[in-house]
Amino acid sequence: MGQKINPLGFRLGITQNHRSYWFANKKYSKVFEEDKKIRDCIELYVQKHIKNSSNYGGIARVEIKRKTDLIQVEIYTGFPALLVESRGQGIEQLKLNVQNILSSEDRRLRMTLIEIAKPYGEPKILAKKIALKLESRVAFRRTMKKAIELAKKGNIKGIKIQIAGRLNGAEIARVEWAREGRVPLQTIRARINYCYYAAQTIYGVLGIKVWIFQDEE
Amino acid sequence: MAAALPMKPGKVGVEEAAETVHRIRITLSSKNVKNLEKVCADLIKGAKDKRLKVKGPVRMPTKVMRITTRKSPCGEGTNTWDGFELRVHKRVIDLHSPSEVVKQITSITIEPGVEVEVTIADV
Repeated sequence: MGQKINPLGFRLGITQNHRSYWFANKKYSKVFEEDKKIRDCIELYVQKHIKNSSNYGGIARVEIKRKTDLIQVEIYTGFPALLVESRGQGIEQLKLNVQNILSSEDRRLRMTLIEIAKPYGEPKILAKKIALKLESRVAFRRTMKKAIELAKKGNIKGIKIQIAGRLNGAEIARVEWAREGRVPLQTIRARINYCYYAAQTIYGVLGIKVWIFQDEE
Repeated sequence: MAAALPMKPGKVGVEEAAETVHRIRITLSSKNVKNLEKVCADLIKGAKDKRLKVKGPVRMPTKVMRITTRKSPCGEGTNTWDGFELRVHKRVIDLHSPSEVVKQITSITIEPGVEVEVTIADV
């Protein structure tokens, strides 16, 4: 038996782009730390303001690009209506929060919200939805099947979901997975998107892994 | 012999006498070769359009930073190793031009992930 490499890292040069794209020589650690702070801030904002029992934010990924004196943050979301506050303010509050975190040098911050056409074709959104269901104690097999149905509405060629932990509150933890279509992890030119998310239930943590095979090349 | 100088005295302007020609060195560094070459080509094209004297992109040796770790979290099993590396590519372009023109050129072509450093050595 072998262990599997993270499919995102495996394809980085080829079918996958970096989520943070910048160059730094001497200040590498500082810039890296800043990136992490930006992502945490966005996550916190979503949790506080948007997440309630029926929502879960719906942010697929955050991409950060830096040029000299410009930081570009692109938030890919499946449900932009949740993030855009009513009263037409847009993401002003979020932008202010992030600006406070950045060590205020003279760098401009540009934040854009990008909508994803088929939100359930993104593994992060799907994983968060599954986590929400599991935390409200829905049976896991039903959750997996429903998640696969949701994902199939978009045009994907394969999906695999794996849930590990105390399923249905059992004393003995186990791993269960469901697959539909094909998910060729060894094929580098296959565009496979992957996400891991931890659901916090009263019995402990359930690890959710979602692989979605979009297309080849 | 006057043809060697890039700024011909043909352009007679009010501020012409004040603009001295500097030796300007632009250093471009990046992790990504394709973007780097593109920015290089753009800079050189921009400089040639303004008829400056350009010393073409000098490619410095690539610095490779390697981190080699055991794949295993414990010591058990065949000794398999991960070899991560980060490659830094560096290009140097020399120009002879007044500093304002250089600022124009460098402001046009900026791609994310390429660091541009301009140093001016007064002749």
